[in-house]
Amino acid sequence: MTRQSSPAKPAEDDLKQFSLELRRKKRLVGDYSVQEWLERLRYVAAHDSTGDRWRKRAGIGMILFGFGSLFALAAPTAYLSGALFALFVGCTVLFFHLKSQDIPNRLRNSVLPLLTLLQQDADRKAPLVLNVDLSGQEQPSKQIDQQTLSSAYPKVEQAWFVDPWFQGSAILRDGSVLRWNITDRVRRRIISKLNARGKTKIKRKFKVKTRMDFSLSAKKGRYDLAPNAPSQPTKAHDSKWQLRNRHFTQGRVPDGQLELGEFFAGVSVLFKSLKPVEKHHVGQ
Amino acid sequence: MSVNDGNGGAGCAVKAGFFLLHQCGAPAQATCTACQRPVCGTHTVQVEGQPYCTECAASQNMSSGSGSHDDYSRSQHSSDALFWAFQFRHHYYDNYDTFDTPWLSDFDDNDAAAFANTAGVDPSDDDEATTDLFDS
Repeated sequence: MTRQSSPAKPAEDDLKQFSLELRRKKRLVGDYSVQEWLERLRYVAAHDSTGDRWRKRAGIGMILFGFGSLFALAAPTAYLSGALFALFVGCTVLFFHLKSQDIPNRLRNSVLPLLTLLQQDADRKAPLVLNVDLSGQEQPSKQIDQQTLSSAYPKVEQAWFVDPWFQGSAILRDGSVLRWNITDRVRRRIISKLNARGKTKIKRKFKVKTRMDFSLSAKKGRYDLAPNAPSQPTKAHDSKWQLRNRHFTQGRVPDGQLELGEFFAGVSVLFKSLKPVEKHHVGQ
Repeated sequence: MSVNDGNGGAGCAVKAGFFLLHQCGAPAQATCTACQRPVCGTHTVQVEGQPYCTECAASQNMSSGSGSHDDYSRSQHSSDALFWAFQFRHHYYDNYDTFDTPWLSDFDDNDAAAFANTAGVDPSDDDEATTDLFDS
């Protein structure tokens, strides 16, 4: 794990190295300050966004030049067809190169927005610990079960995956510690059918249930338990309140974006369980 | 309520944070056209050449964004992303939560009004009872 809690802006070489490592491992592990995380992730996100745009263009070029080279075969000279075929090959190589370099969109649509929202609540100098697995939900290592529901028509194969993809911990500006652990439980069904013309048609269907576990550790001298607190302390500590909450969401898209509203709704239960003992000046 | 930046000057009066709302307090560089409060450079949004604080701009929906994920993806700079965070906060307190958190008790009625809402969702609802997701 990398440790660097300085809020200083990371150097360009450092950012490049960080980006390369992320592309290679598809995993984000570290404990930087929230500002430094944002600097790093914005750099990666900007490059990934540019890569996605070029990949889209390369894909369109691949289709156009591919068909173009076929149609040009009818032309009296072979040069045009050859040139279009060379462009088709170039676009194909570029497309697959950019695809191999792609970073899953969860970084841009889930992790980065979450840190942006937390940045003004988090202690600016304290390290914020992240462990994000962006390798995807359908990895063999994440599969926990597989069965054939129906081997006759239509053939249905079902697999289950458990993906604990996002863990984090942040020290907030009042000294409290917020931890979260997000786990996706995915059911995948692959349905094979033969249509009237004898072609095999395959459909993939997903159901995703996301479990969000939160814990908040707050100092007793600063906070008291609120009356009718929705979350009760789980452990008896002399110096702090330890609160936990579990929240569920569901969806139908694998590797979908984190529902930030649901995330904060889950955290808010913990915050609502406490009340300040007295007014404190919360300084940076 | 006047805010001091620590050096005797006017401090930014914008409430920063999501759960731990606090005065920004950074040296003010402008005055919000809507609420007339001093605002620092970070929390200033230019709308048709006029400076607005991020809270007013978010609550009056002065930008085309609504705090959604898609709006975030269009944020090219850190200042855009910060404004998106204010939009999201406003949207969140309008749609997800009720304004009864004790964390906001340090602030006055005007502060509370910025987050006033009617359509709250009780997050303590039993999620387990409704998750018949895999029963089909």
